[in-house]
Amino acid sequence: MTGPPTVRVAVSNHPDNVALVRAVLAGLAPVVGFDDALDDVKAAVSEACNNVVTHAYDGDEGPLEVDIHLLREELEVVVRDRGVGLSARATEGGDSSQGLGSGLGFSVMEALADQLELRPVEPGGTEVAMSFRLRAPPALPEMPGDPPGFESLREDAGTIQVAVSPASLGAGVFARLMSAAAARAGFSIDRLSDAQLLADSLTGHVEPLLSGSGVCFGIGVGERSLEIELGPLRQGGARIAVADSAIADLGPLIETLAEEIDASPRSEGEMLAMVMRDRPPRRTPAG
Amino acid sequence: MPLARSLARRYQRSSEPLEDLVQVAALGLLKAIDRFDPERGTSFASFAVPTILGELRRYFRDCCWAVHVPRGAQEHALQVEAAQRELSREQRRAPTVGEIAQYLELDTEQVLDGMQAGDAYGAVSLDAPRSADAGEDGETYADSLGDFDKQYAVVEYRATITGALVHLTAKEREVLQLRFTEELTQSEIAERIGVSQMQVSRLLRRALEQLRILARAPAAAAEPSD
Repeated sequence: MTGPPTVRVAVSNHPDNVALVRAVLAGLAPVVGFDDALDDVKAAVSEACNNVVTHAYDGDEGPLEVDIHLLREELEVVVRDRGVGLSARATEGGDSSQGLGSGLGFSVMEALADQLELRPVEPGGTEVAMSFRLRAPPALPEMPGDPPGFESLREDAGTIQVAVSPASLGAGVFARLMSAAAARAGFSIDRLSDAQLLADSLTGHVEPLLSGSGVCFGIGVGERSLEIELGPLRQGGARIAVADSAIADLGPLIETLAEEIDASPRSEGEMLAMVMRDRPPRRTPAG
Repeated sequence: MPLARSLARRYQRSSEPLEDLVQVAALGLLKAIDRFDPERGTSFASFAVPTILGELRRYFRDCCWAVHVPRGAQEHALQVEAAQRELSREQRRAPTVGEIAQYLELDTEQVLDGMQAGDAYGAVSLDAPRSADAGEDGETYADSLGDFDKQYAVVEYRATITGALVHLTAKEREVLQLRFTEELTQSEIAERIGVSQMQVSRLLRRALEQLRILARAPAAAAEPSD
């Protein structure tokens, strides 16, 4: 099965996670060439996400999903929740004629997107589909594909999960996301830069090891630590990635930048798992 | 007016002063009031918002988009870099993004965007002739071939990489060695070679990127042409 180049994002409805969604958009923009539209897309998608954060789950925790499809002349973004449906939300205060929580956020989306559609999600939930016409046709990779499912990530794969197909689109997204995650974990800026180096190195080297055409990554944001998963790799791929001379300079790089590097088996293939910690500050001699 | 102000805030970009945007949004609000037809049955807000946003977008596009946005980003980049130096000096350790944000009274996202912009602009400043056309392999590597320094021949890295190292500048080889062989932190490297941590970060990113490019073309790496 193939479709347009796609990036799928899954986070929880925590308010801070909206910034991670924006980081994904910011990382994708230069790769595909929608830099000029980025501010509008970010603003509209933020509104849709904030709407999920405030209205979808009635104070409970629940998933916020964002699918980004890169079509020939437009960017389609679908923001989805699995919470209270449209009709339930329409009656909740705000401008009920808009049918979606507060009318202002909705008006912003409507004004910024070229097309906007609200759809119910079965068995419960709502999705907002927005499309943005692109002034310059995006530089899309030739091979379209279906993104790998999140099932290859651990159940609790962390704060943010992203699936990208084809994998070549993942480079900018992963680096941008790692720096946003490292900032949120309270990393010092030199470790934040290390996190970007790690992301660059992984996306720059693992493509031949992937079991399919897409790549998934999960980042768990902890207190001054990041748990990272990446794959799915073909069987034995994680060992090859870390093995010293197998792939240019990747092995020693990962080992310097991250720790607890491990292969995490899946029904098909495996994931490369690792942890990055913000080291306790080492005092350097004055001078 | 709360509507105009709220939209101006939502649409605030880079370094645009909020008050200017509120003025523009207020102008849009006046236009909306002027054109609003209650008989058409839509609420005022749903009519006014697109008009106000239209006004904001026109403002960005017409008077300051081309010049102002890059400058705004670059301003943030410079501020962030200055704050990083200042805080590192004060605390004797690398600051976090949160600390820089607090120091500059920006939010963390603005600091990250500033750092990103700094990477784009800053890459040029360090050794301009080479990075200015980083895409063109032939010329860019040429100047670094001559200054290959014997001491880097002993960098214990990896056969293919050691070959490729001759394509990097002396400074790039040095930061790679300090980070990955001696395992110093970026801040320690910065102190050792007398540049900022952010410059170390850029040198590392660029050097690794070039090694990746060279790794894809092993023949070129093994036999540097002249």
